[in-house]
Amino acid sequence: MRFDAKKDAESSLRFAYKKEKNTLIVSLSGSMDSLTAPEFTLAIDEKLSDGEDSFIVNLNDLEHLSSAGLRNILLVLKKIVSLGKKMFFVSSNEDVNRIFKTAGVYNSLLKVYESEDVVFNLPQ
Amino acid sequence: MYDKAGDFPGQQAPMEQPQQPQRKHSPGEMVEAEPSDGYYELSLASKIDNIPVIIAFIVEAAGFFRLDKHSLFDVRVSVEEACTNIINYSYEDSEEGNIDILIEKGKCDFVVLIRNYGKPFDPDTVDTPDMSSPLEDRKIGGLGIYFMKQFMDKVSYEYKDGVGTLTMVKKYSTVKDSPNGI
Repeated sequence: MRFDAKKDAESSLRFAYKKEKNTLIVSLSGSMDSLTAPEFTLAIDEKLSDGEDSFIVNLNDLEHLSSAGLRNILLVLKKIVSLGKKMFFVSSNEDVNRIFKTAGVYNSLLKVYESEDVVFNLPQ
Repeated sequence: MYDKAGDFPGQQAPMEQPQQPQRKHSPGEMVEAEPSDGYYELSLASKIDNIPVIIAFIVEAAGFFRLDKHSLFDVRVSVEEACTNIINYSYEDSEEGNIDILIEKGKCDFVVLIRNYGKPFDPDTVDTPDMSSPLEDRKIGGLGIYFMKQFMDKVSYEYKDGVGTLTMVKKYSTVKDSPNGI
Protein backbone atom coordinates (compact mmCIF):
# COMPACT_ATOMS: atom_id res chain seq x y z
CA MET A 1 0.00 0.00 0.00
CA ARG A 2 2.89 2.33 -0.66
CA PHE A 3 2.37 5.65 -2.35
CA ASP A 4 4.77 5.78 -5.23
CA ALA A 5 5.03 9.50 -5.75
CA LYS A 6 7.12 9.27 -8.89
CA LYS A 7 4.77 6.93 -10.69
CA ASP A 8 1.65 8.80 -9.66
CA ALA A 9 3.05 12.18 -10.59
CA GLU A 10 2.02 11.56 -14.19
CA SER A 11 -1.29 13.38 -13.67
CA SER A 12 -1.46 16.30 -16.03
CA LEU A 13 -3.71 18.47 -18.13
CA ARG A 14 -4.73 16.72 -21.34
CA PHE A 15 -6.26 18.16 -24.51
CA ALA A 16 -8.42 16.58 -27.19
CA TYR A 17 -9.40 18.52 -30.31
CA LYS A 18 -12.31 18.10 -32.69
CA LYS A 19 -13.44 20.41 -35.45
CA GLU A 20 -17.18 20.77 -35.95
CA LYS A 21 -19.16 23.44 -37.78
CA ASN A 22 -16.10 25.70 -38.14
CA THR A 23 -15.63 25.58 -34.38
CA LEU A 24 -12.69 23.97 -32.60
CA ILE A 25 -13.92 21.86 -29.69
CA VAL A 26 -11.21 21.65 -27.04
CA SER A 27 -11.94 18.97 -24.45
CA LEU A 28 -9.90 19.20 -21.27
CA SER A 29 -9.26 16.34 -18.90
CA GLY A 30 -6.99 15.79 -15.93
CA SER A 31 -5.83 18.54 -13.66
CA MET A 32 -5.82 22.29 -14.18
CA ASP A 33 -3.64 23.39 -11.30
CA SER A 34 -0.98 26.02 -10.63
CA LEU A 35 1.58 23.96 -12.57
CA THR A 36 -0.52 22.95 -15.58
CA ALA A 37 -2.87 25.93 -16.02
CA PRO A 38 -0.44 27.90 -18.24
CA GLU A 39 -0.55 24.98 -20.70
CA PHE A 40 -4.15 25.91 -21.47
CA THR A 41 -3.12 29.44 -22.34
CA LEU A 42 -0.30 28.12 -24.55
CA ALA A 43 -2.59 25.63 -26.31
CA ILE A 44 -5.17 28.29 -27.15
CA ASP A 45 -2.45 30.73 -28.26
CA GLU A 46 -1.16 28.08 -30.62
CA LYS A 47 -4.63 27.44 -32.06
CA LEU A 48 -5.19 31.20 -32.46
CA SER A 49 -2.01 31.48 -34.48
CA ASP A 50 -3.22 28.53 -36.58
CA GLY A 51 -6.13 30.78 -37.49
CA GLU A 52 -8.88 29.32 -35.32
CA ASP A 53 -11.42 31.93 -34.34
CA SER A 54 -14.27 30.01 -32.74
CA PHE A 55 -13.81 27.68 -29.77
CA ILE A 56 -15.85 25.49 -27.49
CA VAL A 57 -13.98 24.46 -24.34
CA ASN A 58 -15.48 21.32 -22.80
CA LEU A 59 -14.70 20.90 -19.10
CA ASN A 60 -16.81 17.80 -18.40
CA ASP A 61 -13.82 15.53 -17.78
CA LEU A 62 -11.73 17.96 -15.79
CA GLU A 63 -10.91 16.32 -12.45
CA HIS A 64 -9.31 19.27 -10.75
CA LEU A 65 -9.62 23.03 -11.09
CA SER A 66 -8.07 25.49 -8.65
CA SER A 67 -7.93 29.28 -8.47
CA ALA A 68 -4.82 29.23 -10.68
CA GLY A 69 -6.77 27.29 -13.31
CA LEU A 70 -9.76 29.60 -13.05
CA ARG A 71 -7.49 32.60 -13.42
CA ASN A 72 -6.06 31.19 -16.65
CA ILE A 73 -9.52 30.44 -18.02
CA LEU A 74 -10.65 34.01 -17.35
CA LEU A 75 -7.48 35.51 -18.83
CA VAL A 76 -7.83 33.38 -21.97
CA LEU A 77 -11.48 34.40 -22.31
CA LYS A 78 -10.54 38.05 -21.88
CA LYS A 79 -7.94 37.77 -24.62
CA ILE A 80 -10.37 35.97 -26.97
CA VAL A 81 -12.97 38.70 -26.47
CA SER A 82 -10.42 41.45 -27.03
CA LEU A 83 -9.40 39.79 -30.32
CA GLY A 84 -13.02 39.64 -31.45
CA LYS A 85 -12.98 35.80 -31.48
CA LYS A 86 -15.49 33.47 -29.88
CA MET A 87 -15.12 31.02 -26.99
CA PHE A 88 -17.91 29.09 -25.29
CA PHE A 89 -17.52 27.01 -22.16
CA VAL A 90 -19.40 23.74 -21.77
CA SER A 91 -19.60 22.01 -18.40
CA SER A 92 -22.04 19.66 -16.78
CA ASN A 93 -19.32 18.85 -14.26
CA GLU A 94 -20.83 19.85 -10.92
CA ASP A 95 -17.48 20.12 -9.13
CA VAL A 96 -16.09 22.44 -11.79
CA ASN A 97 -19.31 24.45 -11.77
CA ARG A 98 -19.04 24.73 -7.98
CA ILE A 99 -15.65 26.40 -8.47
CA PHE A 100 -17.23 28.92 -10.84
CA LYS A 101 -20.15 29.51 -8.49
CA THR A 102 -17.96 29.94 -5.41
CA ALA A 103 -15.78 32.42 -7.28
CA GLY A 104 -18.91 34.32 -8.29
CA VAL A 105 -18.23 34.09 -12.03
CA TYR A 106 -20.76 31.39 -12.98
CA ASN A 107 -23.03 32.71 -15.72
CA SER A 108 -21.87 36.25 -15.06
CA LEU A 109 -18.23 36.73 -16.12
CA LEU A 110 -18.23 33.16 -17.41
CA LYS A 111 -21.27 31.82 -19.21
CA VAL A 112 -21.45 28.03 -18.92
CA TYR A 113 -23.47 25.95 -21.38
CA GLU A 114 -24.84 22.47 -20.76
CA SER A 115 -23.60 20.89 -23.94
CA GLU A 116 -22.01 21.54 -27.31
CA ASP A 117 -25.41 21.14 -28.97
CA VAL A 118 -26.80 23.97 -26.89
CA VAL A 119 -23.97 26.18 -28.14
CA PHE A 120 -24.52 25.17 -31.77
CA ASN A 121 -28.23 25.92 -31.45
CA LEU A 122 -27.73 29.38 -30.01
CA PRO A 123 -29.49 32.09 -32.02
CA GLN A 124 -26.92 33.73 -34.27
CA MET B 1 -25.25 21.82 7.44
CA TYR B 2 -23.17 19.84 9.91
CA ASP B 3 -23.35 19.25 13.62
CA LYS B 4 -20.75 20.93 15.68
CA ALA B 5 -17.59 18.91 16.02
CA GLY B 6 -18.21 18.65 19.76
CA ASP B 7 -21.38 16.68 19.14
CA PHE B 8 -19.38 13.72 17.93
CA PRO B 9 -18.07 11.53 20.67
CA GLY B 10 -14.34 11.42 20.65
CA GLN B 11 -13.99 14.53 18.54
CA GLN B 12 -12.27 16.53 21.24
CA ALA B 13 -9.04 14.96 20.08
CA PRO B 14 -9.62 14.24 16.40
CA MET B 15 -6.07 13.13 15.89
CA GLU B 16 -2.98 12.33 17.82
CA GLN B 17 -0.65 15.24 18.01
CA PRO B 18 1.93 14.35 15.39
CA GLN B 19 5.55 14.25 16.36
CA GLN B 20 7.78 16.91 14.97
CA PRO B 21 8.79 15.72 11.52
CA GLN B 22 11.88 13.63 11.62
CA ARG B 23 14.47 14.80 9.15
CA LYS B 24 15.86 11.50 7.98
CA HIS B 25 16.23 13.04 4.59
CA SER B 26 17.73 16.24 3.34
CA PRO B 27 15.24 19.04 2.74
CA GLY B 28 13.80 18.82 -0.74
CA GLU B 29 14.37 15.14 -1.16
CA MET B 30 11.20 13.36 -2.16
CA VAL B 31 10.08 10.74 0.27
CA GLU B 32 7.71 7.94 -0.49
CA ALA B 33 4.72 8.13 1.71
CA GLU B 34 2.86 5.19 3.12
CA PRO B 35 -0.01 4.75 5.49
CA SER B 36 1.40 3.72 8.81
CA ASP B 37 -0.33 3.88 12.17
CA GLY B 38 -3.46 5.12 10.38
CA TYR B 39 -2.02 8.16 8.70
CA TYR B 40 -0.41 9.16 5.42
CA GLU B 41 2.61 11.40 5.33
CA LEU B 42 4.42 13.09 2.47
CA SER B 43 7.43 15.35 2.64
CA LEU B 44 8.68 17.16 -0.41
CA ALA B 45 10.47 20.19 -1.77
CA SER B 46 8.59 23.48 -2.03
CA LYS B 47 8.26 23.82 -5.78
CA ILE B 48 5.37 24.13 -8.21
CA ASP B 49 6.71 21.11 -10.14
CA ASN B 50 5.65 19.01 -7.15
CA ILE B 51 1.97 20.00 -7.34
CA PRO B 52 1.06 16.84 -9.34
CA VAL B 53 2.76 14.70 -6.69
CA ILE B 54 0.79 16.43 -3.97
CA ILE B 55 -2.47 15.94 -5.87
CA ALA B 56 -1.68 12.26 -6.52
CA PHE B 57 -0.93 11.84 -2.81
CA ILE B 58 -4.29 13.34 -1.81
CA VAL B 59 -6.09 11.07 -4.27
CA GLU B 60 -4.28 8.04 -2.86
CA ALA B 61 -5.05 8.90 0.76
CA ALA B 62 -8.67 9.78 -0.04
CA GLY B 63 -9.10 6.41 -1.72
CA PHE B 64 -7.61 4.62 1.27
CA PHE B 65 -9.80 6.54 3.71
CA ARG B 66 -12.87 6.26 1.44
CA LEU B 67 -13.63 9.91 0.95
CA ASP B 68 -16.47 10.47 -1.53
CA LYS B 69 -15.77 11.91 -4.99
CA HIS B 70 -17.05 15.43 -4.38
CA SER B 71 -15.34 15.77 -1.01
CA LEU B 72 -12.13 14.59 -2.65
CA PHE B 73 -12.48 17.37 -5.21
CA ASP B 74 -12.88 19.93 -2.41
CA VAL B 75 -9.92 18.60 -0.43
CA ARG B 76 -7.71 18.39 -3.51
CA VAL B 77 -8.43 22.00 -4.45
CA SER B 78 -7.92 23.21 -0.86
CA VAL B 79 -4.60 21.40 -0.47
CA GLU B 80 -3.36 22.73 -3.81
CA GLU B 81 -4.31 26.26 -2.82
CA ALA B 82 -2.52 25.89 0.52
CA CYS B 83 0.63 24.43 -1.03
CA THR B 84 0.73 26.93 -3.90
CA ASN B 85 0.51 29.66 -1.30
CA ILE B 86 3.36 28.15 0.73
CA ILE B 87 5.53 27.78 -2.38
CA ASN B 88 4.82 31.30 -3.69
CA TYR B 89 4.56 33.20 -0.43
CA SER B 90 6.07 31.39 2.56
CA TYR B 91 9.17 30.31 0.64
CA GLU B 92 8.97 33.13 -1.94
CA ASP B 93 9.46 30.72 -4.88
CA SER B 94 12.95 29.93 -3.61
CA GLU B 95 12.34 26.15 -3.99
CA GLU B 96 14.52 25.72 -0.92
CA GLY B 97 11.97 24.84 1.70
CA ASN B 98 10.12 21.73 2.65
CA ILE B 99 6.43 20.99 2.80
CA ASP B 100 5.18 18.18 5.01
CA ILE B 101 1.66 16.88 4.57
CA LEU B 102 0.01 14.56 7.01
CA ILE B 103 -3.42 13.03 6.49
CA GLU B 104 -5.41 11.23 9.11
CA LYS B 105 -8.92 9.92 9.26
CA GLY B 106 -10.75 11.02 12.37
CA LYS B 107 -13.96 9.38 13.50
CA CYS B 108 -16.12 11.47 11.16
CA ASP B 109 -13.63 13.58 9.33
CA PHE B 110 -10.69 13.63 6.97
CA VAL B 111 -7.92 15.75 8.47
CA VAL B 112 -5.05 17.31 6.53
CA LEU B 113 -2.10 18.96 8.26
CA ILE B 114 0.33 20.97 6.15
CA ARG B 115 3.57 22.18 7.69
CA ASN B 116 6.14 24.59 6.36
CA TYR B 117 9.19 26.29 7.79
CA GLY B 118 9.03 29.55 5.85
CA LYS B 119 7.43 32.93 6.37
CA PRO B 120 4.36 32.82 8.62
CA PHE B 121 1.07 33.14 6.83
CA ASP B 122 -2.28 33.20 8.56
CA PRO B 123 -5.17 32.65 6.13
CA ASP B 124 -7.46 34.54 8.51
CA THR B 125 -5.59 37.75 7.71
CA VAL B 126 -6.63 37.52 4.06
CA ASP B 127 -9.75 39.44 3.12
CA THR B 128 -12.47 37.83 1.07
CA PRO B 129 -11.77 38.85 -2.51
CA ASP B 130 -14.13 41.29 -4.16
CA MET B 131 -15.54 39.13 -6.93
CA SER B 132 -16.95 42.13 -8.77
CA SER B 133 -13.56 43.77 -9.18
CA PRO B 134 -11.59 43.24 -12.39
CA LEU B 135 -9.41 40.15 -12.34
CA GLU B 136 -6.14 42.02 -12.70
CA ASP B 137 -6.96 44.17 -9.68
CA ARG B 138 -7.37 41.18 -7.41
CA LYS B 139 -4.55 39.90 -5.31
CA ILE B 140 -3.25 36.51 -6.38
CA GLY B 141 -3.85 34.07 -3.57
CA GLY B 142 -6.95 35.72 -2.17
CA LEU B 143 -9.32 33.53 -4.16
CA GLY B 144 -7.40 30.38 -3.24
CA ILE B 145 -7.70 31.13 0.48
CA TYR B 146 -11.40 31.81 -0.04
CA PHE B 147 -11.80 28.43 -1.77
CA MET B 148 -10.08 26.70 1.17
CA LYS B 149 -12.45 28.30 3.66
CA GLN B 150 -15.51 27.54 1.53
CA PHE B 151 -14.63 23.96 0.64
CA MET B 152 -13.32 22.70 3.98
CA ASP B 153 -15.39 22.46 7.16
CA LYS B 154 -12.61 23.87 9.28
CA VAL B 155 -9.37 25.71 8.51
CA SER B 156 -7.01 26.71 11.30
CA TYR B 157 -3.45 27.92 11.43
CA GLU B 158 -0.75 27.91 14.06
CA TYR B 159 2.76 29.30 13.91
CA LYS B 160 5.19 28.16 16.57
CA ASP B 161 8.96 27.91 16.78
CA GLY B 162 9.41 28.58 13.09
CA VAL B 163 6.85 26.01 12.00
CA GLY B 164 3.61 27.04 10.32
CA THR B 165 0.90 24.39 10.58
CA LEU B 166 -2.31 24.61 8.61
CA THR B 167 -5.01 22.18 9.67
CA MET B 168 -7.93 21.56 7.34
CA VAL B 169 -10.85 19.32 8.19
CA LYS B 170 -13.42 17.83 5.83
CA LYS B 171 -16.32 16.04 7.45
CA TYR B 172 -17.49 12.86 5.80
CA SER B 173 -20.68 13.38 3.87
CA THR B 174 -23.61 12.20 5.98
CA VAL B 175 -25.38 10.72 2.95
CA LYS B 176 -22.51 8.52 1.87
CA ASP B 177 -23.90 5.36 3.45
CA SER B 178 -27.43 5.76 2.14
CA PRO B 179 -28.45 3.46 -0.73
CA ASN B 180 -28.68 6.36 -3.14
CA GLY B 181 -25.76 8.22 -1.69
CA ILE B 182 -22.97 9.45 -3.87
